[in-house]
Amino acid sequence: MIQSKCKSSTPMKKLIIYILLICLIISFALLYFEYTRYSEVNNRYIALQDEINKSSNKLRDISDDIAKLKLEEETISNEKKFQIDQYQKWQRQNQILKDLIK
Amino acid sequence: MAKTKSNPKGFNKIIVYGLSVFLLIVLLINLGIIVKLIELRKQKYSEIYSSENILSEQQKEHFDKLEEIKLLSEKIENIKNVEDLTENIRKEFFENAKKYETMVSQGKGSKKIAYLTLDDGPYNYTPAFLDVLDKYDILATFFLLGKPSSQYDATYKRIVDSGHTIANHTYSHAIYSGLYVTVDSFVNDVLKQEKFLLQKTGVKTNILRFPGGSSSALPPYRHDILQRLRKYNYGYIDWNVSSGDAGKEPSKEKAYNNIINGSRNKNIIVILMHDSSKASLLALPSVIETLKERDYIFLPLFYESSMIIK
Repeated sequence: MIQSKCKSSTPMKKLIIYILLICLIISFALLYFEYTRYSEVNNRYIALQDEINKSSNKLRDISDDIAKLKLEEETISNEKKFQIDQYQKWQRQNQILKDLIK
Repeated sequence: MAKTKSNPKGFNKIIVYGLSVFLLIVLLINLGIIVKLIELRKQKYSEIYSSENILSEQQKEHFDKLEEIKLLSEKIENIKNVEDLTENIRKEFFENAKKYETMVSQGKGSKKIAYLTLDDGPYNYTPAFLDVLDKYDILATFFLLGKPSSQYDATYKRIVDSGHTIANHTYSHAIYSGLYVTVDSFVNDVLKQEKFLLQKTGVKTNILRFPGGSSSALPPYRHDILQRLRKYNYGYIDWNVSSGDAGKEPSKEKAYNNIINGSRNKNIIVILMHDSSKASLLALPSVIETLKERDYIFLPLFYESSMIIK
């Protein structure tokens, strides 16, 4: 009786170990799969961060360029204030005629 | 014998249990890591989403700034070329003036035209006349004389710089002392003034007003004078409305009434005033306001105008 019980419990134990082993192998596969996906996402995130940094630097450069251009515009506008006034005067006068001709 | 047999069985049992527990623990650890990785992945996704938003905003800002740079560069380029642009718009203005004058002479325009002309300048009152014209933002025509004194240099320059038309009224204006004696005396005086104005203002004019009006050039010289002037591509103009300030100085009210009454039933008026007249100067603001109320627009004269006789 005891012997038969022992005999029947041995394949059961083996079965459990096999099941556990299979589960473990599946879990490793899942772990690998999930890690790969995570790595992809993480790489994408890193690439995005890199892109954001580059974009920020570009924006900073562009802002510097704008500041330089604004300064240049201000300087040249002051230098040519009289000519600009003249241009605006003709523009106004011309607009009056254009409106009348329409 | 039974003891030695039971020992390996017990040992096997321990190994089996140990292995099972070990496998179970590793499995649980794996599952824990998988769950953690899923959480981290979700977190990264949300960070990616925020980063994409940031990047998208930055790209929009980048685009806006590039647009701003483009506009600023264009503006700077335009400012650098403002003289050319002014010349172009000036040309366009006179083309439009010609078109509109044609419309008005055909009775089509919604507004009538007033050509305000000032003779005999520059004079002491000329800057004050210019102030009034600036105030009302209107352009006029100055029939100028040759005044070599440097005190008028700034006035000549200001007339041109303000956009008014510069025209020839002869150098000497010597109606009673030789101007109309011969064809040459007149034409030479006109050409002398043309040269003088070019030197003083940088403007070459081919619009003339005869001192005293074209009727002052009497036969037999009149025909020859006009023929010679045509050879030099000159056109001339008289006036059809006057403030009456040529002789005795009128009152401000009289100057005003002369112009307003003279403008009645006329679609195109050429108003004569003199830079030397204080009455005309004082009447000018009211004249401008009344004529504007009566649907006149003020234009500077131009060679292509139908009012210029060629």
